[in-house]
Amino acid sequence: MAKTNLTVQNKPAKKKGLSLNARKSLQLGVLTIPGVIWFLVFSYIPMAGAVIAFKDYKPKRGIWGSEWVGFDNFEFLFSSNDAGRLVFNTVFHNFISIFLVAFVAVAIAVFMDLVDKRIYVKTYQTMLFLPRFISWVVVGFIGTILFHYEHGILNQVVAFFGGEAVSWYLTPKYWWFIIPAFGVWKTMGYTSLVYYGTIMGIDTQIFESAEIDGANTWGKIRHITLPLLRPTIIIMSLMSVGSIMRADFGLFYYVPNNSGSLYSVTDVLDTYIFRALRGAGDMTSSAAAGLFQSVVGLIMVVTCNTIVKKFESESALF
Amino acid sequence: MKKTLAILLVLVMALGVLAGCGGTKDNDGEKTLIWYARINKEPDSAEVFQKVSDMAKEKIGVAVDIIALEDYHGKMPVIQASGEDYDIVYTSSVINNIYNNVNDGNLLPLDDLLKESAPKLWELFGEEIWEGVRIGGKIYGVPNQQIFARGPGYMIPTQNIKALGLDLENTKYETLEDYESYFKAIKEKTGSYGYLPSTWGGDGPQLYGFEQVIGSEIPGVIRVTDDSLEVINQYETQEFIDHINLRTRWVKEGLISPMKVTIDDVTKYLTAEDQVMPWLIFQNTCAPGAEAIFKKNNNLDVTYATKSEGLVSSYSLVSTMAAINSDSRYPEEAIKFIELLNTDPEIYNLLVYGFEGKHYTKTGDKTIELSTENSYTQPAWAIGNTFNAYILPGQDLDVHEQTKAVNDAARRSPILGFAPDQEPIKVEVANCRAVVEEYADLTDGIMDTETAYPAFIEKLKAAGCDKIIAELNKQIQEWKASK
Repeated sequence: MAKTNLTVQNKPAKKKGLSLNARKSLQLGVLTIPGVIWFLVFSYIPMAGAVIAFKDYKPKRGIWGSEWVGFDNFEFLFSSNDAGRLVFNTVFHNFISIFLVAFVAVAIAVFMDLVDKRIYVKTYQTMLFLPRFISWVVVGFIGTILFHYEHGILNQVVAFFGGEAVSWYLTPKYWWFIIPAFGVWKTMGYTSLVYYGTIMGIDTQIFESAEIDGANTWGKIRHITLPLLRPTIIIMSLMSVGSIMRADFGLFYYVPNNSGSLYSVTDVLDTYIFRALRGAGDMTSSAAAGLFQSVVGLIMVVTCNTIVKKFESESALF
Repeated sequence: MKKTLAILLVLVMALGVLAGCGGTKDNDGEKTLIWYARINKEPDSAEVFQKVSDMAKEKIGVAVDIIALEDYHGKMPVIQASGEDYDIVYTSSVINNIYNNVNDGNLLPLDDLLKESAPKLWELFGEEIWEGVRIGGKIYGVPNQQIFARGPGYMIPTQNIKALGLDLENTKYETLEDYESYFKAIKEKTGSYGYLPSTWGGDGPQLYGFEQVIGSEIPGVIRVTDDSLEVINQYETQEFIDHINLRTRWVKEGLISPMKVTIDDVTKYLTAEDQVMPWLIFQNTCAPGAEAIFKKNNNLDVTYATKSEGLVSSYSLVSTMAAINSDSRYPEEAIKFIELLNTDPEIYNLLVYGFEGKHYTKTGDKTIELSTENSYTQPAWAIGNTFNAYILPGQDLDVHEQTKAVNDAARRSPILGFAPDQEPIKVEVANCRAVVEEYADLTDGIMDTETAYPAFIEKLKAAGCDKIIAELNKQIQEWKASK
């Protein structure tokens, strides 16, 4: 995808006849229709439903028939004595993941570019991409196979070397590493593909002229590939920042087996909201929490974008 | 050409997106009830449901569209909230919470309808039961006739009696502490610890003489023997502290496993018949015949080593109910169909056990054996009057009379008929639920009690447990005064 974007962007805007231009934009316009409709139906129209965050919503009375209650529904989120911990865990894990994923994915993309045989590239890509298609529930089971107290692979390894079995699901400190590791494992394939596509789009003449000037592999990476990847890295990171208050529920719920002892590390806004409201069927508090997450995300994106614009206006999203 | 094709394809896809959002169910003129049942999808359920519908058409003149909804707790509230059309719904104290439903105005009050359109159903229960299920003075659901006297107990694998040389008759097995010798015997025999899944969740506190006022896990219990009806926080009682201390000590002494286990975990692993199965499990109810039902579900022989005295409470009465949508177009037919499920053994057993000859064979007037080839069974308690159910192998012939006797003889909760209004404390309830779940490991004795217990109580206080207790005390005293 990024590849196409890039080629479109890179094309010099030549001033040709208006009719040709109009025809071209018509074709492109038609191509965007499914996407536009999808966003309209599933993202924009439902946005109006966010008003139930400010209402005492009773399904029988309908959204507009229900009473306004102001900010009462937000009380649940902020009256929780864990609010600080929840926000910290969510933001912390997301930041770690943004940096780590960017680092690992760029590295993979750069290495992949060094591989000559196409068949190897395809094989590596597929293998790295696969985790993306494994549901978190299944990953949770893989986790159990690794971390189970009695039968887990890790504890068997520990026992082999004469150590004492570790209660992985009861000891929070290990999870500062386990959670990001699983997160990166699952997303790096997809993200690296985006970066790899960008590298593919770089004009080969630049590399050739660098070679003539005597640049070695590392020099080419440092002075050509990485600088040209920068805008893509910034855009990808900016988009991740938008969901800074939204944690990947599956990762934080299934992988640690929803173990209460690990909450000091693994409890994030999404798992807390699920846990507290699951039994209550309370749609308004959930809506309020979701709205809060989105508004913070919006503020973050706009702020980061403004900062990027200040220092590197070409890489900004808007 | 290619481009035109691509554009056409895009347009078709766009239309597809739109088309996917439309579409409503058509009614073909005949009256059809829509019943979202809390039952399972079985390979032959379509034929069984069709037959049930035909029988209903014959008997009360209305077809029934039975929808077997799995994950009822997750899906039904969403179906209701989206204003979907339905007539009959399952509701209970936990799954698809009846108090929330009443609060949201989802359910039709049934008082007049029952007396006028379903007299047989009305007579099925005495005044006491109907009083017990009232919420805000009105009846909103018909309880499924079953064991109302909920009394939890501890269950062990039957083969352990022989393998460990237990003497159930002459040994005292009343409290969890009495099982210390049991786990010691397991350790001696197998050389390893035993497994003890959670013993405090569900109706667990009842074994310590508490009745939970606002559902399991949420702070707020009364002592069933306390006539003043004072609501207290169970997590601050000596009983709870003793419970976690006992489990922690057992973990430290290597009698039970230092990791979290569930009932599913421990009952999955079968051992040879003369071997020890190293576990003990807690069960919410030890109704007559429960061992046979456990065998049906898990293919495992079990014995109750501890059976507690049952308690009939509002909470246990509303634990499985059939209710009618307040927007139902055919309330009269709906109540008649519920009456059918509770008074007509033929239609009821068809729904529970499937077709005779195919899914089960009769071994007597009321006893059956399930087919091993074609499987079809539904949870009897989720459908209607379990006293009409055929009797399974292993159950006593008079199991239903026994159950009735237990119901009649059981202790009545001192707050029978009280329904808490959760609206003023819903934020605190939600936050407390989150805290209790966080400390589930503490309750199981696998956390460091010394530091975790004070932290747990502190967090509960911060989550507003004292406000819950105060509000419940106020409501109960008001209720008591109005009686």
